[in-house]
Amino acid sequence: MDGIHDLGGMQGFGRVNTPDSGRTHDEPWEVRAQFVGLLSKAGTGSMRRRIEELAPAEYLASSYYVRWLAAAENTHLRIGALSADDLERWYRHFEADPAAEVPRGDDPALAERVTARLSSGRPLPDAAAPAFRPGDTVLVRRMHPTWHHRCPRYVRGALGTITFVCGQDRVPYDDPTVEEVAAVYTVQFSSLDLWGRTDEPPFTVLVDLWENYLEAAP
Amino acid sequence: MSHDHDDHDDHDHDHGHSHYDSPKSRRPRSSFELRTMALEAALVEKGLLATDAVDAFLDGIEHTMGPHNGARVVARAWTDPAFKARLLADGSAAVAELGYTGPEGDTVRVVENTDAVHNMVVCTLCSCYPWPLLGLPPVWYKSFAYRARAVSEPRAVLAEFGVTLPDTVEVRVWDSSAEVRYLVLPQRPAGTDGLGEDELVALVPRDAMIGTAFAASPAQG
Repeated sequence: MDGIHDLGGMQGFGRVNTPDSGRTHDEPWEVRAQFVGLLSKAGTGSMRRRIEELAPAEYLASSYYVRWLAAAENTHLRIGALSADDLERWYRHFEADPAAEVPRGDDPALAERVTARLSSGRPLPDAAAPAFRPGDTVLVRRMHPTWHHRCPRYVRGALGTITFVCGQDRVPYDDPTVEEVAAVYTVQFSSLDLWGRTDEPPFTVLVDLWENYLEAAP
Repeated sequence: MSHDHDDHDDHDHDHGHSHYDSPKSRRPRSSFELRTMALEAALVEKGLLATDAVDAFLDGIEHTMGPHNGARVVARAWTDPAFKARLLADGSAAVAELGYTGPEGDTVRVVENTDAVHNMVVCTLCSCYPWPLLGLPPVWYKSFAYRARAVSEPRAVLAEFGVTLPDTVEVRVWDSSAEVRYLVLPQRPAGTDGLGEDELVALVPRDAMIGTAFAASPAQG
């Protein structure tokens, strides 16, 4: 979807390097919320998609980890894995008793798979039949998808040059069971083709794009 | 810059499995912490969450993975030309030689800074980042400002980090919008010819591997 998450090139957000912004997070619950969402067995699908569909005003008003938390809550409620009463009851329980602990529910077989995954690499396989080769000029398609995708708005309609064929990968969609696979390319753009002349000397932007997002330059 | 996080790591780890603030901690739990606890408890209650799997993942991302791994890769590349050649040709395979693989690090490309080229990495759509090599991303990497500005005014962003480059240097910004994860290979600082790999590791700050800092000189390191 073309949501608020697609921030490349937007203005008005202020400084990047601010005091304390070198930390990874401030509170232990923050990373916990991210991984509870990622490791839920409820079939939440892509958490990226779940975060993108937060209302724009909520997205902008929330910290990074609050977005993960809200997306995880929303998803479990929507698919019926949890009820609002479930969350409310436990919230009141922990609010009322500061010493209360979160119950454990261990699954050693899953923990073992997670541990194994943490030390295994699965590089993208080579693209079986890429339509483009390094050096080819491509045009990023004009499109307006309502589904989950990974094509930033700021490159659409721009001409770029294929720099690498990264391999092939599942095309991101809403439905995680869709098994469409396509080549992924690193496409190189000149800043002049994205932003025109600016205060800075021209520079290069490289974006990884699925073949579906590209067509041969006219 | 990183000591706050290190404090958190220790604090976090002392409390073993909970990964929440100690009930004896100095202030009431925030509503966000209570919501996270409620979500976790409700999922456990329904049999939808494996606490030990969450703990294992958190332990990996906060302790095993981290910028110490990326710095090792950089120092190895500085001292071992054959490794460097393999690293730039096939980053995934080369970092796997050192065991730095895992989620958000399956396909790795290493991009080299030179006198002519300066690379920096961003994820404009979310916060993609090479976990096995760098751990969790810093707050600034996840900020709206960085995600918005890195691709449209990289030199202004770099200047905020104290990095200024001659106009003749080509700035290359890598937007990690698919599943490739990027690591910047910073230039080896002058005056380090006699140093070994272990000493060089200490000269590689995390931000140098994202592209918003230079490697440190031995005096700074």
